[in-house]
Amino acid sequence: MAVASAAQTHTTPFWRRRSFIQAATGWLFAAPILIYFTIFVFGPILASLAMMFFKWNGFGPLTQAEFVGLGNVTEVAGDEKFLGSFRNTFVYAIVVVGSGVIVGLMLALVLNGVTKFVGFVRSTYYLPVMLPMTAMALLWGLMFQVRYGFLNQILSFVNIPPVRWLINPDIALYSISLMVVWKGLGWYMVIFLAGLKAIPEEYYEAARVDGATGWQRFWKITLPLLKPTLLFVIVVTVIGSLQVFSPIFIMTQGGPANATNVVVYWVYMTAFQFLRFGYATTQAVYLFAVILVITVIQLRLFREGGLTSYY
Amino acid sequence: MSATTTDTSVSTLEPTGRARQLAAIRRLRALRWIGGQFFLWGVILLGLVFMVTPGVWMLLASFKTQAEISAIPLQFWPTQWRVNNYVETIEVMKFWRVFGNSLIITSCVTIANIFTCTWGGYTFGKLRWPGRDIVFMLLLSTMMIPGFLTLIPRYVLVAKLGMLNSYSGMIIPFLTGTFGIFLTKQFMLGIPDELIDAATVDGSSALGVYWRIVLPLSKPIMAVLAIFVFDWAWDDLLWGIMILTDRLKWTLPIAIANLRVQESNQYELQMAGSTLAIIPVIILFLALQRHIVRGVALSGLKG
Repeated sequence: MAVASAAQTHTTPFWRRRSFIQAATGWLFAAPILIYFTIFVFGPILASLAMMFFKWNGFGPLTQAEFVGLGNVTEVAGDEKFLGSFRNTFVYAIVVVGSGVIVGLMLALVLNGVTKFVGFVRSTYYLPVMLPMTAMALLWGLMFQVRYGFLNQILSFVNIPPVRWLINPDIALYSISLMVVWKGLGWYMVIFLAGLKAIPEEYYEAARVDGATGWQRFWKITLPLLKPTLLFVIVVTVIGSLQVFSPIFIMTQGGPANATNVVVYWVYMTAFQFLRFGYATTQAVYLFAVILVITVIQLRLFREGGLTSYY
Repeated sequence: MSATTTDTSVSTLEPTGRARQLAAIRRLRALRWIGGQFFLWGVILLGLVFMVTPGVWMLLASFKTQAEISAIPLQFWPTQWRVNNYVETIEVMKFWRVFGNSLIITSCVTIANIFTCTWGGYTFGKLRWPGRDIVFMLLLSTMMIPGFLTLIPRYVLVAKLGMLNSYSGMIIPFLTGTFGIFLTKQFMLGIPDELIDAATVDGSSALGVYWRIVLPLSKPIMAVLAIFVFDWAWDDLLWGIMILTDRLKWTLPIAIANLRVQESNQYELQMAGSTLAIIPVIILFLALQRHIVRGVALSGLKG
């Protein structure tokens, strides 16, 4: 038998052999994906690294691009407006992810404690996640109105003086964060709830027998076992939050006094308002470098399991 | 008070102190449980009100007059339901045109992604070929690269390909996604290899296996993908304002954002426009909510 098959491999031409057919099929199937990624992902990545070194208005032929060496890079490092947008972006990300994780986890713990109407409650909390950000930003922009806005009118019932939500530079970024947390809360809750349901009930039983308090059960069982979920949620939402654009574009356009100016909004403005495509790309690369460092740190912090263990 | 009276009645029935003690403990437990449930439901209901009120307020505002929206003190209900707000908004926004653009673009992106992602999932999850894992890692590494990094080169590429102000400029850069491929690959690991081997022995080609076996078995993950790609593409604003400068090509998010500028003092029109924009999403959500919430829990996809 073995002799026969060996003889056969010698006589059949290579393109008939099973291993060749498998390899050819695989590469043929992968080819369209690879070509697409080369054009729309890998190519643009290399292009952005190259565009960092050029000055170009974005509309003339590419040959008009002027080589400026490290000019853009040094300018970014001293650009107060860009660095301000950088700070705002990080404050925003920390506030949004921090409150999303904490409030979402608390809600998930609460919902984990009840048995009735769970589906309905989950769906209702999740609904704003699905709703378009543009429409919700328009709605909240109106609710944030100082004089007759819905929120201030509600606050006036309990005698809280009007808050200048989007007008006060010290508050504006947090007001936008509030809106984004409201919209995203259901997502955090659903993910955490799934993570909580996956923790075996026996662990809690055993802890109860040993006389552990609810607080101890949370710190010693729930939180450690939720670690992969937490890692996943934090990595995904941090990367997402650092790219915020729509609510800023609709509600404040970076104002007041640049208090809500964020990097992606500023990259957009630099390219399409000031026609500085090379410089805008440099800003994007700068943010990306920082995100990369942060992601690596996050993955290290939660080393055991890593991202893939979530799936 | 009531506890002591019931205690005495219990003691006449069961004279042993031990039994009385147990009954009291049980009662205390029950009370604590009820109290706990009250607390939990209090929090849940408060949260529900917080989640739902803005949407309800938007819906009501879309039927009010400008004066009613900005009335002090707050006027919750419209005195008269002004359907005319919608008529006016539809005209101001060129709603049907914009809605149609959004529908065409979003549908194309969604359908394309369903096929390309399952294709990728099959190629990297089920086909066996040398170099597969290295190529897949290469693709996966792009998940670490946020979209904004390549925003400007992609814009330049699309512009040089002559796709500005066209549907293709909105569709072709979004035909597939790393995360979608990754997700379907993970899903397809659950499809038994025996099924595929059996079909291959019966003379099916790799393409035949994809079309007749893998695709039909991947319906659950295709549904999840479809929902989230649709939701994401429906809401895209940044790429749209870069690519579509011609008003007739605008998508819904651009038209909504423009309402704020163009009708900055017509709050009733802004709210009517926002309501119109969320209707398709609400319909999608109500029809598929079970799949959506289960899909999120399984995949962690972010809308």
